[in-house]
Amino acid sequence: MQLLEPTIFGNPSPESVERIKNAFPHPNSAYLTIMDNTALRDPITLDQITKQFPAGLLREFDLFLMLAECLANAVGYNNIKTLGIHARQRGKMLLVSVFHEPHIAESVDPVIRNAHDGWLPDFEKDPPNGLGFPILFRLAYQITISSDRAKLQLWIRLKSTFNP
Amino acid sequence: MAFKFKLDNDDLVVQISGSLTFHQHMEGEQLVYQVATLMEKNNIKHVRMNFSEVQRMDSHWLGVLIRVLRRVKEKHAEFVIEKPNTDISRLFDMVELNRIAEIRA
Repeated sequence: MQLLEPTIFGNPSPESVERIKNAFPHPNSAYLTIMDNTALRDPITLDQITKQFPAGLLREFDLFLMLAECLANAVGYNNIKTLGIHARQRGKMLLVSVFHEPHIAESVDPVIRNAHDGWLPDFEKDPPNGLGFPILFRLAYQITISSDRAKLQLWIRLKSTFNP
Repeated sequence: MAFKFKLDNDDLVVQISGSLTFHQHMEGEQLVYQVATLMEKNNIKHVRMNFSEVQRMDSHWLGVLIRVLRRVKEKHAEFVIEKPNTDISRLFDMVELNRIAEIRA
């Protein structure tokens, strides 16, 4: 099967690139990008991905916000060496998978559970951060972590399913 | 991104522009520090954050706004966010920022 050629940012190792490409053996992939830690922290990478991402699948601001939060989470919660972002259409949803190397730390789990339950901070006294997953849960229909903890998976309604 | 300050009697207007993401965390630190310093040195009653030139924003900058707001409230001054675009207004709605901040279209 022909795998989708990724857009590369920075200099991820060839082994990492192969691993991430092989993690998404889907014939209907819409987009795949792979980046190293340096590129992850470069604002140009976020700009480029939002421009390259197939137009019309998601609302423009939702795409920006989802990407910004996923990249920020990768910087904040995980000592990421390589990150991959893959998207493919599944019915009326877009499945966006964020591949982490090394894999997603278990310390993220309670943060995700709280966000799933609708938690928002008390702005008067809680630390003024930790809004990333609450925002992602308001953008996505569902968020899961793959059983091998490599992928954060976001199921997002396609733009075409929203009323004008 | 960029920001500039204008003192007008007891009003402090903060004009922010550009795209506000986690990449500009140092600028966020500077903004919090500079607002706090201006609040210390002046008898400011109202802080107005003008968002008319901000195109987009992520959760990191929501945290920056909350930190600024706390500094302002410590000094018993009023905090207002002015003229956010529709996308940023939607972001504010998602996290219910209006629980603690006045947001003016």
